[in-house]
Amino acid sequence: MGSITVKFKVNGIDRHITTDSGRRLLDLLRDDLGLTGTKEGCGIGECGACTVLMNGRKVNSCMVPAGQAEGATVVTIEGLGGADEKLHPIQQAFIDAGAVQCGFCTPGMIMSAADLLEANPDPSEDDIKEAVAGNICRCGAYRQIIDAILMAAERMKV
Amino acid sequence: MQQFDYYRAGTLEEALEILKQEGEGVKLICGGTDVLIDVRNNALSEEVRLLLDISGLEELKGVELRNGEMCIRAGTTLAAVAEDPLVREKSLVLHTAAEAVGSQQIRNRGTVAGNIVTAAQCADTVPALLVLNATLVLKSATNSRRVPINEFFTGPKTTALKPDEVLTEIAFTPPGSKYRGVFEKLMRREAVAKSRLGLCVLAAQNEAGEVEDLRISIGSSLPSHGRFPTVEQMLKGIRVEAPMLRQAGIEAGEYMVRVGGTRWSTEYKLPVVQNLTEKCLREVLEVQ
Repeated sequence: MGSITVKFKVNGIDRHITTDSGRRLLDLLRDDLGLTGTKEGCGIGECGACTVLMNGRKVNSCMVPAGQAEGATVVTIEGLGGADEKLHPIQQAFIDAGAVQCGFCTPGMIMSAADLLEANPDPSEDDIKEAVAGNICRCGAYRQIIDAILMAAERMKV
Repeated sequence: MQQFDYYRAGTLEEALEILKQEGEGVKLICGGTDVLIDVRNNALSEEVRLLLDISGLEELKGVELRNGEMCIRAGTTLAAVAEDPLVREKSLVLHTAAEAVGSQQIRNRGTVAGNIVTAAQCADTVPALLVLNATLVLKSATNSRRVPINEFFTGPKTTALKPDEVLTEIAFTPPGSKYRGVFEKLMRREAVAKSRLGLCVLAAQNEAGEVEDLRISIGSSLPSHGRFPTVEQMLKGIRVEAPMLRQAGIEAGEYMVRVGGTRWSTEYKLPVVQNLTEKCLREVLEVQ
């Protein structure tokens, strides 16, 4: 296995990583950069726990070969609140709505919610259900997750 | 896990040259949503030594109308195809099928071309492209050829793509305003699930209500992707009444068994194919 060098921007910081060519974006984030907020659930693109924003759109980071991150701008759960590390309104809403049970799906859910609210600041409940269709919560806290995203949308309008 | 080298091609020409040199030692990767699962499952051919990434090639991106043909370049993501206003206007069945694939995360990476070359029985966009009579442009370092999609699938998970070729474009003549179509997908849950059945119907009727053209295709039911030629012939040229729809549905099921044989799932699939065919035809042909 050869090595590759990947230059990309993660949470606003330029990164330059030399790594095994067989690695995935998820491995770069968790293992090389220590950004363990992004979770690995199924590893085959079905559960959405590894969802991050790549060039402004949500992707399963377990499905992205490390080499495809070259030149990309990536935002993870750690960078969603911005440089001052405050909680993003969606993160705060997840706390306030009690949308976190075991918490494993939460970072991916929040990244999917961020992707939705960027494109649609005033989503209906159905819009939210569709937006998080690629994220599985095994605790079954969907009702609270939907409430949290509705709450975040309201707060972000102000 | 299998070990590979990874290389990101700078141009299509370079990618074709590498394929010419290395042949079956190369696995092309674009969206990666199927290939990375194969890598994880050690399911790639043992000969593969290099993952050749063509996702960065701008020359393989975009949708356009060219000389009356809708052309989808191979690196265009499923999301870009589903969101494209031209696709929605000119070929609603393809829009619907592209939107039915996986989750938004998958559609943001995966491509229609990948959906085709993987040749999975459950590929959602293939039934739509079959009724659109799509043509696939296959390029090698020394040749370029156009293959009708109905000749591309040569058997279960096998295609006419040669080891030194790349699918570079998918083209079809938009069906025109006379046509109505529908794509239906059945799955275990409402999202992010593989198709258990995918049915696509495209039809045109004249002013008297007679069927001028009818194309029906099915995924996840025949040994490889295909149409229902006997059902199409049965209804062409006539004004379809409700009892004929039932007959058409029954024939669709019988065709599936004649071509694919009886499997463990046939007991379930047979009535579903029959009913789904009838339902889709009723909708498209507007039969009461």
